[in-house]
Amino acid sequence: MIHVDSVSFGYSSKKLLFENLSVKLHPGNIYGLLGKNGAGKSSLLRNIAGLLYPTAGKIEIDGWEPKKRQPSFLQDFFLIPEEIDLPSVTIEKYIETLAPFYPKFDEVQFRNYLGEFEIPQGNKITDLSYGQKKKVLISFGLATNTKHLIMDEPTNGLDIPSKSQFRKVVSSALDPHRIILISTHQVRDLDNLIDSIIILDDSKILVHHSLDEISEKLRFTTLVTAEDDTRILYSEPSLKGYTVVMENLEQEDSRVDLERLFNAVMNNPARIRKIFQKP
Amino acid sequence: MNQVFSFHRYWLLLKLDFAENGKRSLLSLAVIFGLMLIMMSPTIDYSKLGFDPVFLHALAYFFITFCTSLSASLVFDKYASSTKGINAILIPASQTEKFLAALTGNLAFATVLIALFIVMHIWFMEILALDNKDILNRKFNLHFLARLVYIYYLVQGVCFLGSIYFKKATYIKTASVLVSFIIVFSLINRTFVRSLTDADPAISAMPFGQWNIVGRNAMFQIEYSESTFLLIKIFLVFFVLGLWYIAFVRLKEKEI
Repeated sequence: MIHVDSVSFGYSSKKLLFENLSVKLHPGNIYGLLGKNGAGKSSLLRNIAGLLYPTAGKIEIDGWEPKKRQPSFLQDFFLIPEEIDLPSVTIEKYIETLAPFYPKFDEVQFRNYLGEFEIPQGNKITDLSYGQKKKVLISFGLATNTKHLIMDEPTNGLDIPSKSQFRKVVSSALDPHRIILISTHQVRDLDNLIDSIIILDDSKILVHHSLDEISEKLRFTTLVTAEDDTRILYSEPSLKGYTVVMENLEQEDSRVDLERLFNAVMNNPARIRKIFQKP
Repeated sequence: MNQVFSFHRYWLLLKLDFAENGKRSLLSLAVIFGLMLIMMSPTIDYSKLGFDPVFLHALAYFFITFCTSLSASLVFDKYASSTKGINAILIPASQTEKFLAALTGNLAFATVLIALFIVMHIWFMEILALDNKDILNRKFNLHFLARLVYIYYLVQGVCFLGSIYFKKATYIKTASVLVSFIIVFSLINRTFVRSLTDADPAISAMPFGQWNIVGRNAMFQIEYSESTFLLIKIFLVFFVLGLWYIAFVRLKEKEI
């Protein structure tokens, strides 16, 4: 379990990026961490990875403190950063030198992922395009079979077919012991992939719920008119009228639209919080 | 599992470092060795060009010191950028293992060069002495060689620390700090010596070295007692170890 306990962090002591932040992530889930640019998503991930140190509070991952950077913790933790830099070696050499650090690394699995992503093998990694390099790192990260896999904007630099390959590959890599946390501002890329969502804004976590809970409380639908309906939290014009996010008082089933949910949360943070506090 | 040091992980780090930088380091060593041969070779008669062979040997020493300092200042350059630094910090090995692997690689490079220099100097001076026996008087004696070796590793230690201390323009910043420190320290030492000797201009002294007193027809040297000098030498060795240790602490505290 990843336990972020009352954590505060800022690059300067005067202005904190987030304050008193608490969140618990449980194995067997793929979490989507959403937020606007500059909301502090990457900084939160770096705190979780032990790359940055919280100014207050504590982070614990299965009993390990990430900031101590101990080998046992690092063997079960993999971070795919937003900007990547891979060594100038072949994929074979990359496996030979890096895989031994990860006891649960599975080479067959790695090569399968490379096949899924259609990565040419035998070349030096630096000869690949940026998107291909990212896919190599995603494949490697998944094949390490670490209990904790964190991805920061993993779909940046991927073309449209690769994004759906990415969703397929990541969803197949989840197991009951694994936590996958994906941060992105391109919410559509996480459609049909995540099962829980965390929205970070203005130093706070505005939403931290499973998609099931969200679809129970909110309804995503299209209405002919969006006026005079107090249930509506967010609406935008569409061909058939208005696509809306509204309170699900009638308990109707609907598919969570991440982009509209995000906009609804950004527009009505207080009301959203109130809706989710209701029993 | 040992969280501080394991030979297996240390060995893996060395292999990783060699895979990433091995070719570049070996190529650099070959080029530096070639240039040292050109500078120190007894078969090339530089005296015809007006160059003293011993001067060229000294020049070769400065050259390898420069190369080693440059290489040391790049040891932790991957921690300066967030893209490379994240990979480096998150490799499943302890901070001690990462530090020792980096130090081992750099010391291996530095030690090969200084060992080559000493062997070549002693051997080539003997070859040069076949034609000119007087040149043996100018061969670097063991004490002087020991000083050269110490200064060489001192510079390596300073640059090694600089490579983790500074993020950008590492070499220039480290060199500036080192030169400024030497100047300030020498001035303080000079002022101190002069204050004790009534500002006699005939006295000069290097930090941690003997005092030289130049008279009308003679030069005297005041040296430390053996026990004091031994303590100074121990202090100087610990100073280099201290530089390495500070680099280790900085590495442990590194945030990206």
